[in-house]
Amino acid sequence: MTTTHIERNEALPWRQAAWFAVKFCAFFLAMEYAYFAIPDDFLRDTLYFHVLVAPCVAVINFLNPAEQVLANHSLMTSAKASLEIVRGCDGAGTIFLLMAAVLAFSSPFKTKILGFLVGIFLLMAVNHLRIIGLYFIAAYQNSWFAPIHSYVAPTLIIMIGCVFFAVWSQYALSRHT
Amino acid sequence: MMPITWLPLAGRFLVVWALVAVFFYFAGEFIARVFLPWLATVTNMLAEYFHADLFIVPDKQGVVIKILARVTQDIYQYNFPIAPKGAELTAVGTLAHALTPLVIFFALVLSWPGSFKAIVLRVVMGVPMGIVLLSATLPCLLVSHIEGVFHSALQTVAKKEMPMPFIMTWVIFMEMGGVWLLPIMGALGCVAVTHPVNYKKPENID
Repeated sequence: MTTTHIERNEALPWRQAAWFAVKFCAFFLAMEYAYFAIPDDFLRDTLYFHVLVAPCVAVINFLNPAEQVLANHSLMTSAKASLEIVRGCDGAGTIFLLMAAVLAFSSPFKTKILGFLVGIFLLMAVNHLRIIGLYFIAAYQNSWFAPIHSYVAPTLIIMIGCVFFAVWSQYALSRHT
Repeated sequence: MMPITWLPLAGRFLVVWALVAVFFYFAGEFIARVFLPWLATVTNMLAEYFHADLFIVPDKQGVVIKILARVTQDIYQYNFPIAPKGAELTAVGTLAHALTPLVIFFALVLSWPGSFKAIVLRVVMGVPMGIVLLSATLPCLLVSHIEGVFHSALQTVAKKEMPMPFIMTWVIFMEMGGVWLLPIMGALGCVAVTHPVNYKKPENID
């Protein structure tokens, strides 16, 4: 049986667990609040274009040059499909959850930084793959788009984030002890 | 050196997620039909100006939950007329989207390591928790769609930006990640409560 940082035969440290939950929620809410302070036009015209749309379009055109997808602000358009990146499509919610969990978990500073960097990179990479995959689904199998966009992809990304946190917290505890 | 346990852990989480996702994908409509009267009651508790009926209908996006809102009084906001009594509005929310908190919650409580007894206990606890999760998400989403129509009408007649109703702010927060925070917190709670079932007190060795 696989174990996480709370071993099966250990009494749960209740105070620590409750304090973790409180800090986790507080950090997440603070990040969401800061995220909503970012103006829509900055996200749409600058951040989404450079961080999400342009790299995804480059990968799609590399994988299949016949697609001839164009990047325009937060839009990815081709003759076959058009996708718009809006708030929520950027993976920010998942990244904030992971960052909040890493911040809330009692661990050395260097281990936290490692958790941030690897975790953010992993979730951003997965989100880019999701957007690229959604483009091809929209272009070639449109009936699958809704269930994959609103059901499969979000729950899978959350599970990947949870797995990463479980692995990182185990690593952090091994460093701590 | 850290023990290499990440691969079985990842495999366990992802296999359980896949099974739970498939289960809710096929059983979701049945579950939604069972809880539809309760969800309609919660929706009406949240609705300030209208009476709501909920229906499960097929749609090009898949199965959706449709709200039919009948305005029960003339609506005035900030002294502006918004909608007359008797007006009817509809909105939809996809069932698949409504089920995502349940998929995350059950995937976590089932994949978290523990004894068989603890996992069964978590699933039993998960049923009321699942109802709470559904009640905190879907009715708010549907009511906020209708409130959004009133809010747009208000901004049109007022010709300026007007403050957003609280339920719309709540739904935006939920859609940006809150809808994932709730099942994670719920799962942590269930795991914590059932943890003593795993725990064996160390015997006294004199």
